[in-house]
Amino acid sequence: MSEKKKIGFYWCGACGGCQVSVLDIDEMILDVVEQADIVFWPCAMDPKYEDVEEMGDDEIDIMFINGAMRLEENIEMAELLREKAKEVVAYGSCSVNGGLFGLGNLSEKDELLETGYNTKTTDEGPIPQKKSEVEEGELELPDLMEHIVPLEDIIDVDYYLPGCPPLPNQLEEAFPALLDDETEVGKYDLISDKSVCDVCPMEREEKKIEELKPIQEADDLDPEECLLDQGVLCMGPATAGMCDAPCTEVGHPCVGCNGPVKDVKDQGSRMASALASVIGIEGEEKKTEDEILETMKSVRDPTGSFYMFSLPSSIMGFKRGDLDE
Amino acid sequence: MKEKEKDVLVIGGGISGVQSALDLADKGYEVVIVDIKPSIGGNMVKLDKTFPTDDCSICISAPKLVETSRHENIELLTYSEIKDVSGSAGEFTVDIWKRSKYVDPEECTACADCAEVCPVEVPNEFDEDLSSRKAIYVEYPQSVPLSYTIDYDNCVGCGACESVCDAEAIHFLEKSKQVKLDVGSIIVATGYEMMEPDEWREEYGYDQHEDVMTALEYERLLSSSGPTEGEVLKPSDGEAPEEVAWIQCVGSRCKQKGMPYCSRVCCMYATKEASITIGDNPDIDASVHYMDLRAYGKDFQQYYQSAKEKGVNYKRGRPSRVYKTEEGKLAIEYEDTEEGEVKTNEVDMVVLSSAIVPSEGNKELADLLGVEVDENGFFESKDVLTAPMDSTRDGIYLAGCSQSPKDIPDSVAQASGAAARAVETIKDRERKGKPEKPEERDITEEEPRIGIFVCHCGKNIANYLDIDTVKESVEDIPEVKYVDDPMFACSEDAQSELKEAIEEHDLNRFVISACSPRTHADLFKDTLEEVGLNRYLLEMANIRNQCSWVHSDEPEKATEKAKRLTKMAVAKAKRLAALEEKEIDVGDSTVIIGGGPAGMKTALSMADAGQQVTLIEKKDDLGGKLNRLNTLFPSDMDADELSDQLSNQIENQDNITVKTSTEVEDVDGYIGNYELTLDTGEVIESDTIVLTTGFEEIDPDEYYMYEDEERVLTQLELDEALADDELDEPENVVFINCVGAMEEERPWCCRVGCGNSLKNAKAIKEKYPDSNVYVLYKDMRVFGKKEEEYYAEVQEENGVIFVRYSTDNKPEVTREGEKLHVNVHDNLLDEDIDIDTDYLVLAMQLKGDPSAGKLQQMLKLSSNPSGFFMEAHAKLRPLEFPSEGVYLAGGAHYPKNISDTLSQADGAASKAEVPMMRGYTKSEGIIAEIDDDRCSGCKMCISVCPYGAIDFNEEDEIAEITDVLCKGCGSCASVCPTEAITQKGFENDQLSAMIKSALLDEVV
Amino acid sequence: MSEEDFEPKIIAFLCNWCSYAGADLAGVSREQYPPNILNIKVMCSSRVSPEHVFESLQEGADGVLIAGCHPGDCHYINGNYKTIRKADMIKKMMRDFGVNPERLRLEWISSAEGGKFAEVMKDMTEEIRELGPLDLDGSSIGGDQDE
Repeated sequence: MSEKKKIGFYWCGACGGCQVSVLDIDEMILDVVEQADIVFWPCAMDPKYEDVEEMGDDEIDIMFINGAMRLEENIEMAELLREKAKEVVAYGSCSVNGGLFGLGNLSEKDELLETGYNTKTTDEGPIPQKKSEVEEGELELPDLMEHIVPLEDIIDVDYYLPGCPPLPNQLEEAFPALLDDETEVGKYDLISDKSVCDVCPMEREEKKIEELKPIQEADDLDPEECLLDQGVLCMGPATAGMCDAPCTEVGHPCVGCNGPVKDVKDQGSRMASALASVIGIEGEEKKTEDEILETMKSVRDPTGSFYMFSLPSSIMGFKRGDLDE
Repeated sequence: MKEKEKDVLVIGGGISGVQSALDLADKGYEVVIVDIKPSIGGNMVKLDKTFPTDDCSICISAPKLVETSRHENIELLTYSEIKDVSGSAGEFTVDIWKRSKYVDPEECTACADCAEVCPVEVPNEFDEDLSSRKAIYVEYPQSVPLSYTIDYDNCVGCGACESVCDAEAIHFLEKSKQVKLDVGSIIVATGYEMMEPDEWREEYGYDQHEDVMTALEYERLLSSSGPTEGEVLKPSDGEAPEEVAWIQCVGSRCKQKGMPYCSRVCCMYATKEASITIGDNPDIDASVHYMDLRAYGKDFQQYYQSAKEKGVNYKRGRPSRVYKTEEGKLAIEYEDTEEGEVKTNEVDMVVLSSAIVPSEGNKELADLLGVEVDENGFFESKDVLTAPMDSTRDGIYLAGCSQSPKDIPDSVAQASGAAARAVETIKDRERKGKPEKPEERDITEEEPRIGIFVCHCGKNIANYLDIDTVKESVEDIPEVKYVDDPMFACSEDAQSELKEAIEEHDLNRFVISACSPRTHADLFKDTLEEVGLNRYLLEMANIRNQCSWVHSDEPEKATEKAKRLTKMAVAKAKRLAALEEKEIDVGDSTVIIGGGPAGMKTALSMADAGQQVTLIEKKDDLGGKLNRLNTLFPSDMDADELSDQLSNQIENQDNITVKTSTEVEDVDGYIGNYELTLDTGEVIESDTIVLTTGFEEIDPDEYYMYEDEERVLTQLELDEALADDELDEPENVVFINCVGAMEEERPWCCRVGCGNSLKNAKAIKEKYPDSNVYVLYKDMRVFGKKEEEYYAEVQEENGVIFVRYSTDNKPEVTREGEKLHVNVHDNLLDEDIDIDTDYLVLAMQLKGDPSAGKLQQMLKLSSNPSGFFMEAHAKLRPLEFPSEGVYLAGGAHYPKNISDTLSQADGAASKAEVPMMRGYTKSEGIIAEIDDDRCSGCKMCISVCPYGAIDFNEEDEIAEITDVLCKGCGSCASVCPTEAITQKGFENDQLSAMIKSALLDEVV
Repeated sequence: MSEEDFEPKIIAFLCNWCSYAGADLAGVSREQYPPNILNIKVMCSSRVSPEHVFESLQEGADGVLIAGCHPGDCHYINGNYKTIRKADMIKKMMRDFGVNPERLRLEWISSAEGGKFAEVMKDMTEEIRELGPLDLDGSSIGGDQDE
């Protein structure tokens, strides 16, 4: 048996789900620790920045970084860990595609802070500043980045492992492959080249969607039938299908958490193109342009829905200031 | 003298002639088209749009014309005339006089430099003399062949054109010459002319008032490439009119003042022109003066209805005169027959829907051909009803308006029919097979090595931008191994240079930075093929039409743009791959579904040409409606006689297997591979399928006491009663037309009801001369050859009484003792008429046969709400479906009379025979391809494909493309959410490289 | 860059059968229009995907034109109906991305409408000129984090 690998997990701007997901693999964790020592895992071991800084270059064999590049601190840590690790895995959708937090890219930083700290639904209070004077002296907080970018835009990434969070079935495949020197894994090999539809058990028809409706308003959904066929937006067609479709299986539409399928750049564009092509297709030749555009109104918030987990890695990436509004 | 041996001569290169020629050439016969004009296209290319779909006319016809000119089996002899015809069917010899154009079409680049310097301006016939052209000219910008002609009669011989022609294409010494041609059969497709409304209808003031124009002139006004670029302007002062009025039947439907027949298309084109006019110019008031609004065809009535809703005003009554008022308006004086008043309609422009008349040279040509023309000057059919495409002489056939006026789909259908008929005399001839190509070099492993031509196009490009700069901008791209700048990239010399360059520099892709790929790509592709390179390894940058010509005042910017366009082409060229046009075999078996006259005739036509036919009929005998009809409109032929004729021929035809009392349960496969499961359990294979499922009357139960009264008959029931002599001698008989038709629920016109009522009214009158026969109608829609004349005869000779009623005031029927009482408001006399009738005959609305619905699903076709199949294209592909392999004829398409049905039957046979006689069909190279490893079975692409080319493989749960059905639009590639689908030649990578190279300073 | 100096860069996706042919006819008719447009030919306007538009804008185009056959005239029967819906979707997304949706234009130009092609080119160039340059990096609401 070859020497045990040294691995680490780090969370950047994240919900914590990715950390927990490591434990979701149950007793398989025993196989993992047989092959590898977890040398860095703030969530479990509470190291300090200095401890990381003191590590030698390439000391960690494989570093799993999850979470979004939301704060200056996240960037700093990502860069630091890149130095300390031989290989970096972008773990979870936030680090691969920007994730759910990436939707923040549709707002300006000030708007985000305002919404977060100073609206009716939140406590009215001071918005944290980068530097603030307190009794004990000056307090410095890491600043919020203007917008989120995928980890790849900050540091070189060796492997992508999307998911929100990555599921046990993905990890059961990923951990042994990554830990074993004999197994060759390509950068994108842990992303499926098929979509959720491939693993979704629902019955599908040729797509002829009359119009979309929010799932809350969709009564009498047939549990066996494709949700899109029933007019409920489901991101399954444009979403990489490593997940075995646990959402659609229980009647919830896919929200696209895995991001686009392998080698596809822009998940939202794919969904937009596909959906626009088939929505109101029946009898389209008989419709006027205005009638067609009317049908399109049933697609609510296309950007937010189609890029829910992958906005930062899309072609456009974030909101610009071209509109005078 | 040149002597050529060909199979078929087509006289006339309008849409009909072109269609006949293409059908025959596709089957491997060698065809010559002779046209008297410098270019083909006929009248259709002059039209702005076409009814009832408002398709742009030149847009839909131009691809067909280009296909014709590029067809390896078609030779065009334009600017040519027939001088003599000798011999007989199978061995005609024809002398053709080919007038010199004084411009070599091979050398002419259509750059227009010559026309610019020509000092002679003459009226432009193409624009109906509303604009002018030069003595050296092309008829229209998309002319086929696209080369200039010197109009000898107007040329002053100054030589200016010759001096500016860099291509040296002008040869004043070129002589006209005689061409001798041996052919087996001849198709006459000489089209029509519009009657000059000066002599017959001088009261409409066409000669006196500039703003009175013919409909064809108006068509040019509407055309965006016409004299006013689509603006409706009065010729007199160039101002926009406030009101425009159309006058129908100018010179037609009137024996005394023109022609006795109906011109068949005027109601619809006037409706089209009026509706487009107000659509584009909401301030203009449009009115149409008509007698009967003959909106008889598929979707015509709905089109008419929508024109009315848009605001076109229809005024019934034939105007008596047009005069100028003191205020300068044109006053149309007419009797509003619906209100019984003489009125005037004051307008700014008057458009005369003048009669369609035979082409001027018809009689002379008929004499040369040894065939007859009818009393009006159209070519005479052997039998108008049963053999409309046969002339009076064997081996000579008729297509389109040479035989009688007709609209485009009817012309095209008949043209295909004529093509089928023309095979009769030459069917034993050897046909040309697939053209041989040199062996192709495999470049898959090679790195891109690109050659580039930056063309001067004489001065056309070189004068407006800097060729050297463009050249230099691409020379240093690593993949570019060769760059040159020929004077004319399309010249013979340049082709040789291209071939040498490919061989010498081991090039595997070529970029031509010159003119438009739409006109020239095929030429260069052919050259590539000659040296063994796949034809898809060519990319063009359009630096003439889309650069030098349109930015001629900005040479620097034009140069910059040309650099970019060329770099974009290089970026794409780097990523080009050899593409394959995939072929599949198509054998000689066909299944025809529906054993009425359309099916029987299609079967015979195909069997005679050697195909193996299975004819399936759900009833227990063949004949369809012929079994119920008494006589046939408009020749009064016995329906039985035709039925027997066809049945006997089928019995004696070994190539036809008839299966009666049989229905198709399931269909699987595609062209060349159909598998039909019959309700008998039998499974038959076939290469093609023709649908001739016909039509039926709607349920009459809810109309006019039909359910309760035995003396209320449907039209077909009356036919049966007449045939079986079951009527009691009546005192009075009333026909009601349009029962259940042209109303909200079923808005279409049944097309045949009026004719049927006429011939049955006549039959009753002839049998019971003392009876009174009333026909209650809305608009009398008889429009075919000899039909208007029949209508006049029934009115004048037979004394049938016609009563016009309106949709909102329908006849009422009550029981009155022994008789039925009919009360109807005659909206011409504006009075109520009461009739006690013995029989009430209902001309029922017609709908598609119910079996069509099932077939539609099985074959992935579509049908309209009336239950008739939707053809591939309403105008130009009436007998085909979007996906190759299935065809249709007769009532399955729309109800039609026997003459049109049989024309369509031959036409559908011809269409089906194209792949069958060729033995294969092939796909485009640029088709879509699905990567099985990425397809996740979401089924998004399937409904998007307009050709039904994508199927779902239930076993592997992935989508599959049938290559030969794919036409390469790329819709599916854009749809696919996993990018499993690529459109070859338009791959994301290629498009993306073009985008980047357009915007960045490098070629990616 | 002052507004006068600004030359808009426009990428035009033209369908082979109508709009590309219309552009050719504009040439044959020697219609003059500003040289700001670079054409990319596709067989049908329905081939154009949102990515092509976004990529054009991202790589430096100030405007994008998609032109196809008039509704009902599509050479591929109904491809342009997909284009209508896609263009609508792309515009909505552009708005969300803070890019003026007017920078994308959908036009129907038939092969007989050379004049219209030139008009559209003139009009669009002017319109984009008025909107000003779309400098996606410069106009971003946040600084570029790659630096």
